Amino acid sequence: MKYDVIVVGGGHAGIEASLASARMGKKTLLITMLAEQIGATSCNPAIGGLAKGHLVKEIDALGGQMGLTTDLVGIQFRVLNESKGPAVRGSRAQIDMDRYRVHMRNLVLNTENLDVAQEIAEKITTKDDAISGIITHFKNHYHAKKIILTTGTFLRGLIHVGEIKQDAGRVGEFAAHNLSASLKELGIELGRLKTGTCPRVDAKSIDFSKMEIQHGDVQPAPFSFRTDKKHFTPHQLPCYIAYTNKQTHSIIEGNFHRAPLFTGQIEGIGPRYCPSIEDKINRFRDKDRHHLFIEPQTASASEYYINGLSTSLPPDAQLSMLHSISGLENAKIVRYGYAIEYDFVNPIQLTHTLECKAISGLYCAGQINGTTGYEEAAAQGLMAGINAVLAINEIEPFILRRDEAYIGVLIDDLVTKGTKEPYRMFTSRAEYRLLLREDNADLRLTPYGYKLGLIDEVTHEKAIQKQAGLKIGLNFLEENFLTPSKENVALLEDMGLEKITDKISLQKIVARKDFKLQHLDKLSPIFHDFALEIKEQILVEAKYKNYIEKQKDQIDHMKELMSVKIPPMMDFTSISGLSNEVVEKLQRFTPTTLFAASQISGITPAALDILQIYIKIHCKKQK
Amino acid sequence: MHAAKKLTCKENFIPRHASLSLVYGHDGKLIDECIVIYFQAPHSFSGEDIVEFQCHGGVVVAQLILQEVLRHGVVLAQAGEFSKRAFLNGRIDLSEAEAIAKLIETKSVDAAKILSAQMKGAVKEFVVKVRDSLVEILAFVEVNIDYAEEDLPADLILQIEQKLQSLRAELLQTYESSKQRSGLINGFKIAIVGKPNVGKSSLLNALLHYERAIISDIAGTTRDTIEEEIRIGTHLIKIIDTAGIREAGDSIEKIGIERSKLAIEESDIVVSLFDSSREFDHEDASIYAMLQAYKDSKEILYILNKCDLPSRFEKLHVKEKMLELSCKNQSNILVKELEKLLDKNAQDDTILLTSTRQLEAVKKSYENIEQSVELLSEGELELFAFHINEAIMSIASISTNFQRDEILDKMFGSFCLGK
Repeated sequence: MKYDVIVVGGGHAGIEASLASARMGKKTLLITMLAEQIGATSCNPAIGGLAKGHLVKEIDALGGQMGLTTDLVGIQFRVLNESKGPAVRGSRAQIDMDRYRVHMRNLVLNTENLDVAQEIAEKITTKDDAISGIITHFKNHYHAKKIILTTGTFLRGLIHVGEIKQDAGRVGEFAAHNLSASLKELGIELGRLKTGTCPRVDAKSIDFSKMEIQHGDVQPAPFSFRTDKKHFTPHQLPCYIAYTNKQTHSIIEGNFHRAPLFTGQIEGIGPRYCPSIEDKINRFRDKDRHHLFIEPQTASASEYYINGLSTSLPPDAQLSMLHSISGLENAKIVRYGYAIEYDFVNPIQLTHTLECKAISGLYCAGQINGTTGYEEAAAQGLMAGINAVLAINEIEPFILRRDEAYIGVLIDDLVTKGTKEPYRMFTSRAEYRLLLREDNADLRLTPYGYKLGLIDEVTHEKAIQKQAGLKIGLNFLEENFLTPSKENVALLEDMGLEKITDKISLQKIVARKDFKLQHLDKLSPIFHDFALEIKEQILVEAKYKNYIEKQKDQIDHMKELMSVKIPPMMDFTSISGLSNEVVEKLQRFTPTTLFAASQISGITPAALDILQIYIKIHCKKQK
Repeated sequence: MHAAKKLTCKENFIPRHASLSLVYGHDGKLIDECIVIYFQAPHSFSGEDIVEFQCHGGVVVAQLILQEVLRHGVVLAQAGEFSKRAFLNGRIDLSEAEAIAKLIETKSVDAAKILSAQMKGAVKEFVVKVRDSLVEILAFVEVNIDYAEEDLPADLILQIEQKLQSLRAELLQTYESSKQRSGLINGFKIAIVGKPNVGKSSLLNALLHYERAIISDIAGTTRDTIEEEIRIGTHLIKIIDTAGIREAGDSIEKIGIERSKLAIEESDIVVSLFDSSREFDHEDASIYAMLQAYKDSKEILYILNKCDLPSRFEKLHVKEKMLELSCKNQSNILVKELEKLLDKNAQDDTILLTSTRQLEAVKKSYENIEQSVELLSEGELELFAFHINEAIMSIASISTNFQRDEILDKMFGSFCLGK
């Protein structure tokens, strides 16, 4: 039983990793504990959101699966931040979590080159500091050139509901104990994190009339650049908004002494980004209400997800706090909320390809790397899958820079700085945010996806056309001017736009706040022939032009620092002039480039200068 | 190179040729006549393109040129940066490399020492406070972007606006007062102005007790500004003697006049001289008119010189009180008057930024805040955040480095976020 790539775990990272590997022509095996659970959404029934929508679009532009499946099974589509600038808009969809899972499982099973084994991976076998395969609990030894671990919360997973503890990777599923031990044997350092989820409530027991209703967008837009926009008419369901109140808070407070989070029963560090309700009440005592989103889990809407009420309080406390909420007075809990602790690999132990520095051929992606979120997981899975294949083919790795994609920011943050708490993506993490938009993810990444063999000819051609149109349009706007002649003044007045007093480029007119898409056609007849999405791009780029140019300088500086590689054998202690603190940090984070070193807190500009000089000395001595 | 071309209005420089060039400010005004030498890469000290400006003596002109260069996007070099670049470009031998690393270390330690010496007390507090407020403003706006779905305080944008307004006012006040009173550390600058032959150089000499300027009876002999440092009481002052202000025919003279105006702008105190032995003429009138423009921004002393000679000057032409003396032997009267003024200036307790680097950082920060105000009111939050980010980066350059995680710490510290 020989494979090129073995993927362990069938969650969102595992799906993207195994699909990418198989689609790039490698003989791939997906080992999962329960084939039924491939593509399960263990937490909320939604994909995307702010910054996460960016990740989904990028995954899609590179040829990943998440966006396509979401479009097929979505039951509500919204663009968040619609009123704000295009760079910070984010797409979000509620999904039918059953259909999502079934679709993903069938897709995986139907994919050429991809086998599925329902087994528990227990031991990683090695040969000369490189991996050689995996032994499962059935004692099958699968051999592989590369292994990708996408174990989610399963490594020594421990569930907490009040005082009750359960060994489980997800509710009702086994935890993986032996794999953790195997990783430790290989010298990988493991840490402990915590996350959690909320109670799910029987739809019949909810009084929706007492809640605010929240509909999807009137004109829903699909996630995938490959989904046909014209015929995209999903059947949408509403969500509801409810609020906690003082009574809810006092019930929760009254149960603090039974909360595993506060009694010391939970040791792992939880995410600040999606705290449990007990944590919120504890930290923000003066807030008199918290809002909750009541989200349908499937198209049949038989069960609702109480978003905002993640908890590990005992069952009776969960029920009484629900009952204090307007609309949930008679709520019946189908599945109780719980907290889960699990082992993770601090990602500073990985390179930018997500391969372990210590063992060649072993990749980690998703929650095992300390992230939270389906989208973050899928993005890493895709990148690990691609890079495992490229490594087998002995081709240069595929690494996205921070100015190219949120995926680049995500992985760069993880592997250069590591993480102490579950890492979530935010648009504010992306310093080149204005360049990295959902709307241009295809322009940024589809050429890469095509080159990698994950994007088809037609999709690639579409992106190329869009890029070409954008260039023509922008050049036209920059090279043509409007003078304050009678006709032009009348034209602007006719469009309801601000007057001009001096000669001004069309670009500057378009960049104005009051300029809208419909004005473009009137500005010049050449725009009549442009496709709508190209016109949208022209508008955005013209608007951001000055900012984009400013960021280009910063990017050049970053690239310059990135081009200075720090040799792996560099002895930082021998460098006089570096403080102990700097040396200690460099040893701990082992940055691979001067740029990576510059990202570590406490590394001063002077230390970078000195480092740069010693790198040069080091390299000259090698010669 | 780009900046050099802009400043000199020249198309090109011949490498390694010293060329006499007029250097202009952004407003088109002449700053100085300099020798400009272009060292083309790799034939320069650092191995990169280098443009050298050799300007006339004194700090004022050099400062002015520096400010103009910075205006064109040039960045101040870090401690030891030239040597580092020289090494990296292979201009310096490997054997010297460790010495250079040492040099960078020492220089950066020196720079840090200087910075920390400058950053004591009120200034440090000020910079830390500005940095904090900016990070807080950014965190508030990022919450609005990244947690748009949350139940956020309704007046969040208003809060940001208020924080921004007070910060903006504070930065501007500190910048302006620091610029005006950078004299406390670098020495107050005193400009001496007056028509030709009114006795400016005699006054300077009297103050310096030795012959510095060429004194002659031919009007327009002093064509360069001369800068000298002297001590008055406990204050260090720099005296800028300028060429006689008058409507000159020849171009070199004109440079002198332009420079006088610049000197006044650069100075903290202006000493204007009028000649008691001659009638108030149109030259006096135009100087007087020029001074009126600075009435509110500068301290101006009006001196009626040569009072030992028969008076022919009609005092009614000058509304302000004039100090009547003879520079040759009564300069002590002036010194006393100056000391009074300087004491008054030094007592002001507003925060002072003392180095060009600090001033530059605060200025850049302020400019970004200026640009951000309108964007906030228009709801262009991502562009607003861009400018606040830039403002933080420039303040961070004179305090502690900025890590993006700080925003998250502030966000989650101040708001209850996440589901």
